Amino acid sequence: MIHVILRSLLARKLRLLMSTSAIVLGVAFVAGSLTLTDTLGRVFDNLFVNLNAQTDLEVRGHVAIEGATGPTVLRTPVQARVLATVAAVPGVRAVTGDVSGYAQILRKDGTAYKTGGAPAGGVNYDANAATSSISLRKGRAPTAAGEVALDVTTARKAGFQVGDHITLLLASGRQEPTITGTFGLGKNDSLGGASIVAFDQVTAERLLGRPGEYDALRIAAVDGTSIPDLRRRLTQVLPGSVEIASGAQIAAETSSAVKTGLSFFNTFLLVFAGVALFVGAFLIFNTFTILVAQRQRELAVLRALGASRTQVTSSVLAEAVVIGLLASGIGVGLGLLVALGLRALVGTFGATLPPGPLVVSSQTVLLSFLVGVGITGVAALLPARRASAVRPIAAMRAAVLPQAGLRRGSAVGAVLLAAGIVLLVLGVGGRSALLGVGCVLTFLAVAMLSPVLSTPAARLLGAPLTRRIPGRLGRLNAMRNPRRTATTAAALMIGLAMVSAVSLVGASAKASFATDVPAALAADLVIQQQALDQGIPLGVVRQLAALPEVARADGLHRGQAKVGTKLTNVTTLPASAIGPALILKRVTGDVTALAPGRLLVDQDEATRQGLKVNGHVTVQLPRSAPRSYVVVGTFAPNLLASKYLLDATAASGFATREDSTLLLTGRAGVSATALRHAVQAVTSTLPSLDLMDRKELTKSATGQIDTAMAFINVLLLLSVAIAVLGIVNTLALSVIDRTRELGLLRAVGLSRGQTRRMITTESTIVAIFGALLGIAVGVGFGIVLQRALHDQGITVLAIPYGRLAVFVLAAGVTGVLAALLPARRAARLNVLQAVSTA
Amino acid sequence: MTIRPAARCLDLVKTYGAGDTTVHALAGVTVEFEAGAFTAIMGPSGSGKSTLMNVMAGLDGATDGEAWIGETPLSAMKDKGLTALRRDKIGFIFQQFNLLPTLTAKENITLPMDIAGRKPDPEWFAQVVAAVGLGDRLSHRPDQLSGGQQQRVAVARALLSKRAIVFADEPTGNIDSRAGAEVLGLLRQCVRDLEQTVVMVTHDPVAASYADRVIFLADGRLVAELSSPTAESVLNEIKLLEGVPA
Repeated sequence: MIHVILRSLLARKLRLLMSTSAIVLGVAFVAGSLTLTDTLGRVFDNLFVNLNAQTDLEVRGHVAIEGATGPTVLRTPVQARVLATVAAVPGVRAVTGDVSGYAQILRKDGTAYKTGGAPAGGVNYDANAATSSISLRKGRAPTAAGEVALDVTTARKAGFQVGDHITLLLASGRQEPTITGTFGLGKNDSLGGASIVAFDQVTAERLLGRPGEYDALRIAAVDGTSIPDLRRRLTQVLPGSVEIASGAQIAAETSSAVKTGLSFFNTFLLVFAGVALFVGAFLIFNTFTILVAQRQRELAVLRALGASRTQVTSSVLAEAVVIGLLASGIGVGLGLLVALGLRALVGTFGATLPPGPLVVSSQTVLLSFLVGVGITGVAALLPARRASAVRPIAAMRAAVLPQAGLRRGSAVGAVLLAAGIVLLVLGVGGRSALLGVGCVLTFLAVAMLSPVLSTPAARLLGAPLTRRIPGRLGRLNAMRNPRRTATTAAALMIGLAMVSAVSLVGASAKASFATDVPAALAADLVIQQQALDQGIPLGVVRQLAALPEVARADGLHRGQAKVGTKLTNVTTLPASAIGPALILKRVTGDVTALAPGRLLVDQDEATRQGLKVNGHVTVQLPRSAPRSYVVVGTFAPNLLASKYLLDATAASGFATREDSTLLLTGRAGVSATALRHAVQAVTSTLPSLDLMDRKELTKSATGQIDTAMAFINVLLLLSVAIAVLGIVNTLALSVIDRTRELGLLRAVGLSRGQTRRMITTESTIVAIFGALLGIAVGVGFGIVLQRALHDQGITVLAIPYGRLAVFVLAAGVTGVLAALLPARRAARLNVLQAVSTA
Repeated sequence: MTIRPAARCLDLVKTYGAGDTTVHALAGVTVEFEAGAFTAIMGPSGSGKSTLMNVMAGLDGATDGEAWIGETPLSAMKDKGLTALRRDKIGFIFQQFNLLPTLTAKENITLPMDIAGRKPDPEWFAQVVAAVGLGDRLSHRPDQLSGGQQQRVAVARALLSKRAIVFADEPTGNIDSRAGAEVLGLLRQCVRDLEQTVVMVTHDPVAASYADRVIFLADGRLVAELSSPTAESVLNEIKLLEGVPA
């Protein structure tokens, strides 16, 4: 039996190539993203183990906000006096108090050195070989104020040599020390692309830290000391405000935190792999349905010869499994290339990844094969079962394969659609899992309903093309097999639905910015830090406020806090800025009544959390104790504000001291140009700041949306490409199916050109039908998503009609392109052979 | 009998394969098909009768020799010319699968004219439909028609566009004898009343007896000819030919 299956597979090489390509691509994405995750994981594991190799134990504060996570989780500081306590414990050979802080390097031309998302920081140069992870590469360690050392990668990239002067922007101000040396971290040249400046211990404590506080204490034990014993002794003398961790534990924690951060990227890629595989399943389903139909006589002979139904079903399924194995194998191989490509892509975003071999785990390979074979098998299940329903008598005459009525499929489809819509509506509340399941159900439902639609749709879409005979015949061909047309179109529908939904959300976000930015911003200028994780030094706002052209300069500080039991972002701002600088649309209470101990909350969030005016809620900022706040007002969702607004006095509780955003309002009578000039004179010394008026802010925000949309659309293009392969495949199979008809048409005088036009018409109709279905579903999804993202500031619904029209046109062109090969094949058909094919 | 033949061929040779495996399907056939006459081509399996028809109809190329439709030689023509020739000059009736399943009987009849972008003359259309007796079946699709009705649609298709010559390949091979007699009678009537030229390949002496002339092929050669045949005379000729050593 195996022999028979392989024979039948080899006889259909081209068709197989087409239908497997979908599975190959999907599996490649799965394997690629899993391999990348493993590889990066290994890289970071090594990095942090290496980095903490010198640390036997560490004394550190507790996590500032319980439950907070992320690579840069904030801990309460360790009081300086603990250092002496630790040093006195027997078995401690050396202990170093670490401090760190913001330190932006300026290149020699005065521009900021950008790390592409990695931290830019200053640390203490730990000269004690027993505890230090710093290894000097060139020059000497900094020993006094006015001296620094630089990590060797940054020195090379930013073009600094030992002996050069360097300009640094610190939270405490500007510094221009001399570089005395370059260093690596353990064996590494870089910490994931971060720029690190090291000061001598005393200077670091003065410039970077807060007086009397350390980030953590790193301990090296006397050789031969039992670490668990030392840990016990330390626990006995240390205050309850600190905890002890081993070097290995810290390495594991840091590494897993970084990996958690990266897992977002992985999930993102897997979603696209999922879409590709979903589309691929449609293709496999369609291919097998057609193959089974073409082979019904052969299958009937098998049945007549005594093969059982189960044997027929399993012979078809076995074919699917072989295809699945083959495709998964190729997919895994291709996946390694995908992983290499993605790693390079991560590199271009600025992160410097330590080199290392690709880590291909057996789990990745197993999972990829499981997914590939599983999906192929499931997709072939229904056609295989239908194959076994062929009656032996069909061998003797040209019987039609028993087809389940369209009515039953439609009924199931309608039920699924209802369920999908219910889930989507429920999901609007913010449960993204429901949205996901709702999307999949809706796709399946529409796919099941589409055979009912396909014939009238083809009739309608083809109507303008019927003036000449090729168009008329093409339209009839598109109408004759509703299932085939519908399944082919459904594959395209999925891709286009996603693209349309993304476009709609993007357009809505842009429209929201365009209407909400002017509505929220009363100030003339906005200053923002370009780097994501950095702020604007506190001195700047005072400097700007002192300018004669400036009426008011307000600093907004955004950061993580715990409100009630929930971790969220809160923004602090001077109460007086509400109105003159930031416009809040009042919903309830008084939005101008902000003061210490009072807060304002976004109305959507208030509803969700059950907060009312005059109600109380506990807020904990990282550096301050939990405190009860009174809700004094609620406001409509606002793009510049977080969900919670606190008075500026609370800002000292944040992890960092820098402002996130500055709002500047000019004095009456000062022109926009004059104001900008005056402000630029100050900000030009801080080159990583963006200075924008309302229009520029809108443009910058919409620009970011365009970039994100382009990126997502490129990934979605993959599934569209797979769907197009599906059209090619179906057409090629249809041409084989209709060999006799084509021969007859050619015999009675249809020219090659007319034959090509006939196939192209069919292809175009199928493509446009798929596109229209997809756009209809996509617009639905888009509206649901826009509602779900309402409280994220996407308050305006904008349907990008122009873009959607372009999609339909593009689908039409795609249809023409997809028809190229099958049409060529049909036109080249040997008339005599076609006519005499029994 | 008219002077000018509707189609003819001279020393027509058709070989398949090369070297030891060469098969001579046609080994030098010269024959004329008179306009306005009904000619039947007979011969045992492998005699070359279908090949002769395929080459004459421009469906297959000859290895050597020449074939003409009217005064047009076929050997120099490329696909485009042959397609146009088939569209404008030649009609076909195959053994089965004569009709497009997606089109109605009427649409199938007008298909060649639609392909050429011409409108059928309504009077002539009505006359043809009346002749083949399909008046009430025009809006049916092929799967709603009997085998004999399908063949009559194919005849109507060939007649409608007034083809110079109609080739019929075993037109009754796949239908019962009563329906077959109807189709053959129809072809006979077309030749007599409408002066249509018909060339039919068949192995059935009864079918051949409807023709004005029967030519016999064996091993790729023209071996005999019979005018005004009857079923008996055809059968006798076959018996005679079988007795003759090859």
